Amino acid sequence: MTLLEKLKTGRLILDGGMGSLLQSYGVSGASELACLTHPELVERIHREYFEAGSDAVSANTFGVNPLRYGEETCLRLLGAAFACAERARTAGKYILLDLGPAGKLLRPYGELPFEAAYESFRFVVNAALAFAPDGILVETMNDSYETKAAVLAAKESGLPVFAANVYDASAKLMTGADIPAMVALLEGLRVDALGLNCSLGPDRMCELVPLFRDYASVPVLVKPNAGLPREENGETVYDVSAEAFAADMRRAAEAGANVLGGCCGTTPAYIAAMVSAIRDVPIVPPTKKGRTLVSSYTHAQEIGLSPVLIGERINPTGKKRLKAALREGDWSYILQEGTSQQEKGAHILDVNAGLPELDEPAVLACAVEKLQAVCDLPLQIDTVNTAALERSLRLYNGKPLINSVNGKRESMDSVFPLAQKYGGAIVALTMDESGIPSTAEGRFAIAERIVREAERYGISKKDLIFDPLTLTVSSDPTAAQVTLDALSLIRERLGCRTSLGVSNVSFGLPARECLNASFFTLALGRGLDCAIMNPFSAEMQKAYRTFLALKGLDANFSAYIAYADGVAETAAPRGEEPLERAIVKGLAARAGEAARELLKTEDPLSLVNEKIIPALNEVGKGFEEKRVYLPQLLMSADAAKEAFAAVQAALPASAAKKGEIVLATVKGDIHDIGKNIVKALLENFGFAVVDLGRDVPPETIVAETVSRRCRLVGLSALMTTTVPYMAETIALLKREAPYAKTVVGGAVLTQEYADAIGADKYASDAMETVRYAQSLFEEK
Amino acid sequence: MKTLRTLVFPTPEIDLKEVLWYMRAGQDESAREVALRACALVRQAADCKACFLRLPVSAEEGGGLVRVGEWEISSRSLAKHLSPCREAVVFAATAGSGADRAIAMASAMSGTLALAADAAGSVLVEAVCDALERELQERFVFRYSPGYGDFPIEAQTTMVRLLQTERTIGVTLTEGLMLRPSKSVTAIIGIL
Repeated sequence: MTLLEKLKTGRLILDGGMGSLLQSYGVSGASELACLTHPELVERIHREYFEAGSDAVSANTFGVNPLRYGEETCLRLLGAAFACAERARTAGKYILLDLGPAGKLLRPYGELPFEAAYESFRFVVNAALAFAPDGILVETMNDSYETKAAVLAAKESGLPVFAANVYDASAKLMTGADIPAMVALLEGLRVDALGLNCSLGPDRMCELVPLFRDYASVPVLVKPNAGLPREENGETVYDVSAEAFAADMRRAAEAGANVLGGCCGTTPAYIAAMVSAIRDVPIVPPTKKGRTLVSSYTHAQEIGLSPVLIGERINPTGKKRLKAALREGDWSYILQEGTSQQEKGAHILDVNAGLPELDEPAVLACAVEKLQAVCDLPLQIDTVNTAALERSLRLYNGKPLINSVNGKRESMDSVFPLAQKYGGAIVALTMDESGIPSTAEGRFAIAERIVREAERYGISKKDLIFDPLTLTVSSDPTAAQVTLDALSLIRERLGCRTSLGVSNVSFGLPARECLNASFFTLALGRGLDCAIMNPFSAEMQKAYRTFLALKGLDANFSAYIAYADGVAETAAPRGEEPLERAIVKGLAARAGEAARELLKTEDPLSLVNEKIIPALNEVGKGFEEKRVYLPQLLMSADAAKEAFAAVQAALPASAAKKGEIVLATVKGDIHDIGKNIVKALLENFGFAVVDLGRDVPPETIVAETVSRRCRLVGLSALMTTTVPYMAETIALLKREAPYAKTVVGGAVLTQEYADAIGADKYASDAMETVRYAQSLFEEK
Repeated sequence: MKTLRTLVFPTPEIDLKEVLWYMRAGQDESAREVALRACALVRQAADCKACFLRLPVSAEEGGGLVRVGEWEISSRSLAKHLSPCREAVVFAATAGSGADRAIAMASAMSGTLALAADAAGSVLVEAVCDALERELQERFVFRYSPGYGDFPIEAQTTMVRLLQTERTIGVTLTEGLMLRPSKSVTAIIGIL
């Protein structure tokens, strides 16, 4: 019987702690090293687990990876670990390769790139295949992204893969994912069992089992610690006894956990007690859930309950400003497009980087990485470029929506294998080689064909979201009706979810927004599950909010009331202040408007030099004289930013930029508010800022400075413990980039401190940095 | 008594006045609207948690050594501060990685919003500490954190280990001894 066949019979018993047990036998140091130093002890522990009733044990490979040990030692450790397990194995028992965290945090929390983590896991998995493990257990992962890297590598072996994560007291991973998000991600990657281990004690873990069962279609795995460890007279003790552990695990089994074991602090005695406690508990087999889920690194968005809005604005088609931003790598503009749609109530963000002049695979993947570092909405990856799709799917930290597949053979052949490997719900367009059928039945027939083809890849219809395509009513008066009928057919006969982009309907007619919104309402009435739309469209928002209120999908009308309040506010009369006053007063919307008006008659560059900068200077001066407070200064900067955006839209390239400045918060330091303020001000005074973020190693700062030949580098540090990295960065800059000046700031810095570490300039506040940059770039 | 306990809090209200104070808004009320928006962003993303241990303490007013359970700390200022106490609560509290995410999101939108969201996060984590104190229903001296007076910042390492913050509330320490998520606090509060 293979491991999977055994799992299908209902219940699989894993082993308990290894590291904590070795420690209690007096073996100190990393537990995987014991395979070399104390092989007979490791073997004995495996044997005791088998005898206690474990069906499968994990080879002692938890910490084995090339990032920690180098490749050669890894191979030795793997060989030794599997030899110990094999010697203990008896008939009908299984041995798992155990994959623990790489020991380094992945970006954006740490330094390790996703692909480097993947390569490290892949090395271990490939090397372990020589020892023929029965399956792979990915465990103790507290980051969804690292989990994805490990599971991807593990799945490529073709072996069964189980994945277990560490949840904290609020039932979330350290990096933010909740249970539905992890189920979506892991089932997308097609693990064979999933659940939780380590961390929480068994009592709390069994409480979480029903939540896993609500979402998961695969067996649920539970592997708790023997409670929380604490030090007592220099020894680590755990506060849950074998009996109490077994009683809790019985409850976990009753709640439907089918893969059971223990983690730190548990011993063969715990496993034996557990096995006898659950012996008479009837097996609750996993059930298929028909829930359509997409996820980000924090949460899952279910499609099929209340209708879902997909923000369409990150798509360069017809958008000059976004095109320029994508071409120039102006990520802050793109991020703002993302976060502002989120604020307007979008549930999912569409991301498209399809411009003929761009390297789409690189740009789309980069957009996905940048967006997911800031914005926690699930993304819809929108491309027809297969390479771009694959790269983005790999790097996406969650289960995305894929936009799109259609009934053409070529499309299905390229999209379905990728969805099969990386997971994802897929938007499927009802068209094929012969175009878009003119009847609802015709579109339904294509949908049926797509469902059948998807099944061949094991993609179930819950993950297919059909778009029956909106055509223009002005060229065919029945077009809207056909789309709506097709939508109903797909929902009722196939039981699939649906999505639409509605704006095509009104093409060629006046007051298009009115038609779009009414068509949207009609589609919602037919049961539309998602719409790709502009969250800033007032008419579309009105249609959506009122529909939810009338349909009984808005408890206590709270969302509707909040929406109505917002409508009243924006209807308030706008000021007529000229541009300079709007900037001084910090009125962002008015500043943008005034700038656009002026640009009809004035030259963009003189607008910058004669109106925007002088107005900002006035506020800056007030700040220096302590008449103006920091928030006011920043609001003026925001207003100037709006005016700049108008100027940039009017200029062919970013010709208005004065000089390039590298900014970073130094290594070890994660408080970057000061740096962000400096950045906002510098940008609004017309400088091009290359923001390297926070916790940036000296080498990265120097490499960026050298590659751009930047003349000014701004560094911030908040704590005495991180200033040494600032000193190190400056020393390295002086050697590698002697042409670059450094300006430093941050809570603990003083003029003396700045002098001591060799900085060229100490800035006590953001304006001082601006003034220094002005003097530096204007004197040449 | 010595067992480590973890609490998950409903997100407390964020005091707008305090946010404006953190923003150094002075008498200027024009930042009010931005501050409100920031509070909404941070509150909606935050997940507030704390974990704590109740331990015996001994400290002498003039001495330089404090004992908290089995932990010995050399700090004159802390010794003075805890001299009236026989017991203390050692705790860590956080507004969670969600608060950091909200601040990152605000930073992508505007400088003012970033400043306001950062301030809102700081006010929020203090509110979590207050909520923890209320929950414990004791009379406390004020909270004392590593880095205050001569209570060395290096004590964060012991705090994080003692409270097992990574597994209980998802708080870790960077190489530079900063708590991550950034809106997190550890402290000792003496019981009167």
